[in-house]
Amino acid sequence: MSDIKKILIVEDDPASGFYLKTELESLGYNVTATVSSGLEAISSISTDIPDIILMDIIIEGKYDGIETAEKINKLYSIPIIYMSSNTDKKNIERAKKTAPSGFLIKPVKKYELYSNIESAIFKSEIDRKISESERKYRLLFEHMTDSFLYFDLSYDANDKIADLIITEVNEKFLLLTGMSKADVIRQKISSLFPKIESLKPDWREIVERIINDKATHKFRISIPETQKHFIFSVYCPQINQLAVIINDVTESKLHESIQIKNRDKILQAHQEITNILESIDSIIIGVNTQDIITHWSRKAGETFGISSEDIIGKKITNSNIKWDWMQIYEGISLCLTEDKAYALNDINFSNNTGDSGILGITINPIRNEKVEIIGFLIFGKDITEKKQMEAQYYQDQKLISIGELASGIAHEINTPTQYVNNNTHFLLDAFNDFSEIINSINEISTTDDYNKLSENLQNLKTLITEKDIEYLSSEIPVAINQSLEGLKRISEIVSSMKSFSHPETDKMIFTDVNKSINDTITITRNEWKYDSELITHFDENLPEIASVPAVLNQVFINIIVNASQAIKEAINKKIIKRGEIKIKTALKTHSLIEIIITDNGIGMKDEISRRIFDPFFTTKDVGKGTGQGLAIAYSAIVKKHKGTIQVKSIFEKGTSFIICLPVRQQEIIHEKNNIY
Amino acid sequence: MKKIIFIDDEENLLTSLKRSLRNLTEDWIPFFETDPVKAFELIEKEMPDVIVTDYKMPGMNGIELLEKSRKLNPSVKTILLSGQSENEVFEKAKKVTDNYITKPCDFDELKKTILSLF
Repeated sequence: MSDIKKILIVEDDPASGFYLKTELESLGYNVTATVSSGLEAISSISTDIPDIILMDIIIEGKYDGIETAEKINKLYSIPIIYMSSNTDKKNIERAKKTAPSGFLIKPVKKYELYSNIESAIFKSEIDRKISESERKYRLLFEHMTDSFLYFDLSYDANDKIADLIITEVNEKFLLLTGMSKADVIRQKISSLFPKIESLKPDWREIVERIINDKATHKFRISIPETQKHFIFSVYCPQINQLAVIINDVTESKLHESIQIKNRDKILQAHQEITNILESIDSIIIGVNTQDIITHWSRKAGETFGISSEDIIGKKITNSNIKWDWMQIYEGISLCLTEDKAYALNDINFSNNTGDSGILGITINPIRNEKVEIIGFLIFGKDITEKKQMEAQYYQDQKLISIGELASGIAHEINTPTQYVNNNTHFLLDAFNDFSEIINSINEISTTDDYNKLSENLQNLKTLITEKDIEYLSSEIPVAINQSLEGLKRISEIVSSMKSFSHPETDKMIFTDVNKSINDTITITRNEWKYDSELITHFDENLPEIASVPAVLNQVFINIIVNASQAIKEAINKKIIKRGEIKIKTALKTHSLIEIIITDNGIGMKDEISRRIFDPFFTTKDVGKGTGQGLAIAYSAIVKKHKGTIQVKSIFEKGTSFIICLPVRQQEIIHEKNNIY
Repeated sequence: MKKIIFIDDEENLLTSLKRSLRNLTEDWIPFFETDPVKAFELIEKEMPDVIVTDYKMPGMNGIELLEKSRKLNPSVKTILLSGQSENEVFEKAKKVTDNYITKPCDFDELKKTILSLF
């Protein structure tokens, strides 16, 4: 806004208008226009808004000055100073209603003009500022999110607070209560809200206190009927007045209750997780990155005999858990450095009473939601009993295998027994026939009667033909040889079986591996002979090796029986007509022998051949399984004999087992020294 | 004259049987076969009165052979001679034959069984 004030002159007398214009300009004002009618005035304002209007009351046109001012006031807030030579009461009353900024009596004097104009401008600016500020505060007041009430205090004759009279409320309050401004303004609080009288202590005492200590007091008030919750802030802005701000906290209260519910849920979830963790029949130990034990499951307590109170919060490294720390340390460090679960098998431990056992353990990294490692979890299971059962199972499995072969072995013995029996019957028969012939010869040799001799000779001839002595002479040696062969076969089987007896002996003795394999072949013949040829390529110069023959034979049995079953499957699937099992032995180096057992059976897919040495892994139907036997084979060769066992298999082509065994002469000599 | 066929994959068993049957053969025409598949062909051709067979043989077991033969000739007399003493085999055998002899058996027992068939 420019400092030079702009003035519009509304004056129908040109001489007066000119005079005014000249005077005003000499006073430093800028006259925007001099018009003679109301309509001209309004039109001029719309193009150039003046800071002040000098308005003659009697002017040209439809409207007089007062009417024109009324119209202008509706559109603008420009201070208007009336000018009139007519001072009749009626006009002054009319003019008053338009809230003029001044009233000059014509003829207007220059100093009056100046002082009127300046004070009007000043007043107008003040008014503008006040109304601007009031507008702002009104806006603020009306748009407050809290309800606001303003009271006057009324006192009784004893100068005690009698009531509160509402002087102002904001829109929010009306919205909240559903009342109109007319309903509340100038109303006594006790009549508007009669319930206030039932409050204890008496609300008047509270107001008294608020007035006295000049502080803002807050009250939490809940309305059960509407389930709404408020905070009343009450203060005394000036003497005899009271302001109340009502903050509706129902929603935040709701939030709070949701938060409480959420907290309850979290607590419940935590409890559930704890319950689940505790009900898992496993050792669960949570450890943070500072090695502090944060979780210690019930089972951990039972297993180690250490209560959670005694151990939680302690460093795991300082805990008195008795287990194989070397392996545990290694597992933890590998778990944390490689950032993956790490399994430890067969960890020895003992509890506080000295009982020991075996644990299977996995160590898992614990990550937070940002996938950072924040510790590790030791998950353990007491596998002592399982291990004992496994050991028992291995033992049983060994016996089962022999048991499974029993009917086959019996069959192998039955067959020669049967034909030895048949042959013996034949030989007995043949002997009877020969006896008759010998008797006849005897008769001839002892007779003196030549007449009878010819008759006897005839009898002998008939007998020789009848008994088919030619047949007997050729068949008897065959029958005897066949019987002898049968008996030899039986004795072979029986002697082979001997090397399978005493499986409990763990002593290393000199063993002829070729003989061991031969014994196994004999024992298992009934398993493979219907489907397969068995071809051996033995290195005749194979040295005797240190072994536990019963254990070694067990391995050969399992491999041969597996080979035979693989062949049966291949025949059933019409991949081959007849099986072939090849067994080759060789001296690989001066201290190592090699045994290769190959079949042309069904073979295995990679994923199976990789697992066949796992305990409890079997490819065979439940109940039939000697797949079990391969895990025993592995432990027998690798653990007991410090050898190696490998499998090479091609699906639908066949399988090869390659066993290497150390000769280990030294150990045997040592054993021998012990024996003698 | 009656025809009798003996089937066993063990050659020694058949030859020894042949010898011991020497005195029985006046009324009998014996046949011997080690291969059960060839044996069945022989059965089809000769239509024997009696079949004496082993159980466990390569290619076809004794029970299968007897089942097939019985379809060919429902009135054929049969004897199953087996080293298998498992119940499972015995139960199956009962369905195809009334005569089940476990090995090893004395030749006299076999002879008696054969003679008792008629």
